[in-house]
Amino acid sequence: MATGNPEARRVIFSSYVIPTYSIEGEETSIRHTEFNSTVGKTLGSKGVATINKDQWGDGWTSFAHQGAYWEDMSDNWELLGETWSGELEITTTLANHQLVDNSISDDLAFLYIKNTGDSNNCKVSLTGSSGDAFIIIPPGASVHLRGDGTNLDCNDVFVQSNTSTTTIEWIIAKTP
Amino acid sequence: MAITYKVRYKNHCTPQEQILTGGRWYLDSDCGRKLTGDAETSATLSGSGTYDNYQAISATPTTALTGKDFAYIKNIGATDGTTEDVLITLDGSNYLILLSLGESFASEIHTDAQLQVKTASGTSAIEYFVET
Repeated sequence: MATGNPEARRVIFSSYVIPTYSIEGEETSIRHTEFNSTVGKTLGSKGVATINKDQWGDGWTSFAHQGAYWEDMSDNWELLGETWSGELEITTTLANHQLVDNSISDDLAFLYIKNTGDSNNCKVSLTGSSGDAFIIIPPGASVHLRGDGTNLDCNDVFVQSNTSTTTIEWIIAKTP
Repeated sequence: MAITYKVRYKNHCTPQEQILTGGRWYLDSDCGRKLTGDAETSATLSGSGTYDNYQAISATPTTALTGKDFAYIKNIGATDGTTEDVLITLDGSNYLILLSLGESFASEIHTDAQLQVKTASGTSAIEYFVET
């Protein structure tokens, strides 16, 4: 799993942005969408982030979360009502949703979070539970970023829902 | 006629692992798939935004941009050939996001964010688009 076999790990990432504006016709309620003329084109990029081949734990991706393995849980497997879905449900309380355990203070190399919910936004703080959650992820959207390699640690990342609850999937990887 | 401004954006990533040094890269076995998010901005945008295809960046932070709902910033390197990494802060003080040459950051952001960009040292340049 997260430690052992690979000789190296990396994440290839890209962004694609389409600024648009749309006009709704007066009579037909048909909306016509085209490029925002301020930009007049699509924007985007590609990059590669080298991450540590031995990650800080199975929870570095939501797909291999410790909740996926009954031997890592404090509950007996026969008492659990459902299996790990690969998504984490989060509430509006920022302090309750630190993506990694507080003891994991490794420098953050790469972060990816997708809001897999249907209706509420996910908000992300890069400055701890008392910091400002300035990154907003609408339902279906995602964000990725590379850490500065020094000041942003894995345990600095907290998430919350703007209303009620939503669900997320993620990658949070430490530097080599 | 009602005009609506939106930004559709997609952030994609492919985690990979290498089993033998210098060998082939495979899809990371811990993740098992490529990851993509694709959506429009949730905020109601009122204007066409600001786009600049070249702004020189140095170790002195840029003037703070505030009240923005969406930000796209790409490190394009300076015309003099300098390509230092670019650092971004969303709160005006903690420069936590790094962009190497050719990389970008694209996200909806809170209007209270104080967006500033600088290099650790040396110079580079960015292309950026912000919308309110």
